[in-house]
Amino acid sequence: MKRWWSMVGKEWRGTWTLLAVATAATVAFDIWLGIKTATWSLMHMGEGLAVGLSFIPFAGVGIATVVAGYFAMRGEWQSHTSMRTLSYPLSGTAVLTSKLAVILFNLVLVTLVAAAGVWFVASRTPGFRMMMTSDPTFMAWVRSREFLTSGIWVTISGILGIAFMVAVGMFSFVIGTLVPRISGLIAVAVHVLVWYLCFAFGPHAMYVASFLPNPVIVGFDNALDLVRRIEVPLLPLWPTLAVTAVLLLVAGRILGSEVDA
Amino acid sequence: MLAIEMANVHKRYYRSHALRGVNLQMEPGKIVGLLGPNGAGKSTLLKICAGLAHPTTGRVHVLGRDVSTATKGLTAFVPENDTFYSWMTPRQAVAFENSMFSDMDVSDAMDLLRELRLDPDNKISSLSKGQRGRLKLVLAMSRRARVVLMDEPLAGIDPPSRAAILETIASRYRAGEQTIIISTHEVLESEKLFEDVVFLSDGQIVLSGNADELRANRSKSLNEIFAEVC
Repeated sequence: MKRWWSMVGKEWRGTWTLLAVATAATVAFDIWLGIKTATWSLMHMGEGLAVGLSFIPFAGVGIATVVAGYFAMRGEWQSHTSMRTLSYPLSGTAVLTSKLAVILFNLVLVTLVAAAGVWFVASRTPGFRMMMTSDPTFMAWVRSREFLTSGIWVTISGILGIAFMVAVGMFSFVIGTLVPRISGLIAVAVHVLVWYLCFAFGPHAMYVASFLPNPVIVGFDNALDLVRRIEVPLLPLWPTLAVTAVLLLVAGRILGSEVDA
Repeated sequence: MLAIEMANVHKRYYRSHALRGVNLQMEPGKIVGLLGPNGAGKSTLLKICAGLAHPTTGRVHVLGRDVSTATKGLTAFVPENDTFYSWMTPRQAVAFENSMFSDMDVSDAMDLLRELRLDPDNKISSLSKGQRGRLKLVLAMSRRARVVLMDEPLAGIDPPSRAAILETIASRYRAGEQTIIISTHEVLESEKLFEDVVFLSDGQIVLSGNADELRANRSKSLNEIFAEVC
C-alpha cells in the first residue's frame, strides 16, 4: 500500500499544475459571469443566460473525463517514464488505479468548483432566486427528507461515471500498445467498441441489477399542477461498478504481462 | 540458483526479430558483459529480464523465478534512455525509489550523490546527460538488488563521467551476492570489469564464457574478440 500511495503522490505532483490552471480558469470565468449577470438581466437578455453559461465548465470536465485516462497513460510512454514506472514492484492494476485516483480527485475538484460557480452566478442574478423558490417542484425537492441522501447518491454516481470513462480510456490505451505501430487507431477502435457494448448490453445489465438492492434517488415532478414524488432506482450503479473493476483488472493484467514499456 | 536463465527465447517486433532462440545461464555473483553491436538485441534481452518486455516465446527465470512483480523487487534496471520524472530533484528521486524498493539504502545514496558531485536539490530537468547517467547509477547501486541490469550505461556520456561510472560500478559491486549485467558495444573501456562475457549478434548468442579464459585461449583482448565475432 505504501508503494501505491507513493505512486499516487507522484501522479499528483505531475498533474497539479494542470489542475491549478483548470481551477483558476473556472473561477475566473464564473467571477466574470457573476459580474456580468446583473447587467445582462437588466438588458432583458434573460435571467438564465449567465446561469446557463456557468455550466460551460462542466462540458470541459466531460471532455477531460473521456480523454484523461488515455492521455495519462500515453504521457508515460511519450516521456519514456513508462520504463521506470513499470520497473517498480507494483501490479499493473495498482499502477492504473493510482493514476485513476488522482484523475478522479482532480476532475471531482474541478466539478465542485464549477458547481460552486453555478451557485455563485445564480445567487448574483436578480430574480433567479425568486424564480427558483417559486418553483414548487424545486422547493419540494429541496425540502424533502431524502434531499441529502439523494444528493449523496447522485455524487457517488457522478464519481463512478467519471471513473468508468477514465477506465475505458486507460483500457483502450493498454490494448492499443499491444500493436505499437497503430496503437492510436486500435485505442480509438477499442474505445468506440467498449461504448457500443455498454449501450448494447446496458439494458440487460440493468435488468439483472434490478434484482439487487439498489439505492433510490427521490425527485419531484409537476404534472397538472400537482407536485408528485418520484423514486428513481439507480439501476446503472452496480453494472457500472462491475464493468469499471473488470476494465481495470484486465488492463492491469495486460499491462503487467504483455505490454512492453 | 542461477541469476538469469533463458531457454529458447524469441522476441519479435512488427518486422524485426530482436532475439532468436536465446539460451543463456548466468551464474550469480559476477559482473557479466553483454556485448554486441547496435541492434544485436542487448537492450531487449535486459528489458525481458527486468520485466519491461515480454518474450514472444521461450522461458525466462530471474533468481529461479518467472519474471514477475516479485522479481522486479530484486532487480535494478538502469535504462539507456532518460526515464526520470523530470520535475523531481535527485533527493526526491532517491526518496521515491526508497518508497518503492525495500532494499534501498538512502544514506548510501546520498553519499554516492556527493561522491559523484551531484547536487541533490537541482531539478533533474536541469541536469546534463552525464549527470543524469551518474544519477541512474546512484539509484541502482545504492540498492542491495541481487541482479543489476545496466543498458549501455556509458552511451553518450562524456569521458570524465564514464570514468566515474566505471569506478563506481567497480567499487560498489557487492562481490558474491550481486550479479551485474552490463550491456555495451564500447568494450575497450569497460572490459576490465567483466568476469564473464556474452557476445550477442543479430539476436543470437555467438560466444560466451569466462572473460580471462577467452582472452587466454584466443590471445586477444575482448575488444578484438568483439570485432571478430560480432
